[in-house]
Amino acid sequence: MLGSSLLNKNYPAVVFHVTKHQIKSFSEATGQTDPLYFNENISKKKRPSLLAPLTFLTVIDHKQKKPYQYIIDLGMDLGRILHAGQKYMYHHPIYSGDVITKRGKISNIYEKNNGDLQFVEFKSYYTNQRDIMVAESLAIIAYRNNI
Amino acid sequence: MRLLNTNNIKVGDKLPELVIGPISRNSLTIYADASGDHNPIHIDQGFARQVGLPDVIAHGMLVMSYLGQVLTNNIDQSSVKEYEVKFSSMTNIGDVLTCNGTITHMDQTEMGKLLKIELKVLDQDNDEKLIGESTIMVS
Repeated sequence: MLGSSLLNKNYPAVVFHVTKHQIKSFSEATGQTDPLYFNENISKKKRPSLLAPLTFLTVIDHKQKKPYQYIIDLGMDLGRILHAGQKYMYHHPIYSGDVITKRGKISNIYEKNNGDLQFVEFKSYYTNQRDIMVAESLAIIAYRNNI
Repeated sequence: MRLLNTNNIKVGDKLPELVIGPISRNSLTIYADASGDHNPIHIDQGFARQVGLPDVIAHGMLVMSYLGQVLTNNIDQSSVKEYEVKFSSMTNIGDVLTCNGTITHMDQTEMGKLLKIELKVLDQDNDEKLIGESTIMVS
């Protein structure tokens, strides 16, 4: 299997500043309608600022210098990967103004269909500026070996 | 936004479904910019053809984001503890997506009311695009 020696490899922490603009534009691009994601005045009644929607963590995963570094390290070519699954565990809300630190590692590597498909799981932990763990994620990537 | 009254629900109940689409090239370009996911398989038709696809495909995370609204349109986001999906097939340009959720489990715990919701996205031909599950805790 490609890159199986990289199991449990940790990746350097990435620091991400959550802005109102990012929450608004991501919410708009994903068709959200709840004013909690757009309107600070409504959001502020119960919350410090704009709330990040459920899948906003993917912005933190992608808006960094080398979002696909683990794919490259595994020797995989970007055109042959597919996103097979995604899991989020939520512990605490994320708001605009938060500074999120993401730490991640390659947590599983396996194959199916006699090696036609190889799978890689990447586990991430997200903490905020008060060192509260806000969320965890697991990305499952499939690699098509046979094209 | 009117939230679900969790005192008044039972296993088997369905959340109001959400119909999205048709998926356009433009919506994928906008999503690529907003999310930072610039994988060319979603925006460059030439690249998609090189890797054996007839055209660009939608970002899985865009479809997961649409489906998540079935949860947050009806349930306070702070009650959503887990949300997971498996991408069953590719979502193509022109697809019309129906997103739905069904309550499959309900349990009163010390922490509050625990719900499991089974989630699904189907296209215009009833092909399954994505299946998922969410764990909800209403305190």
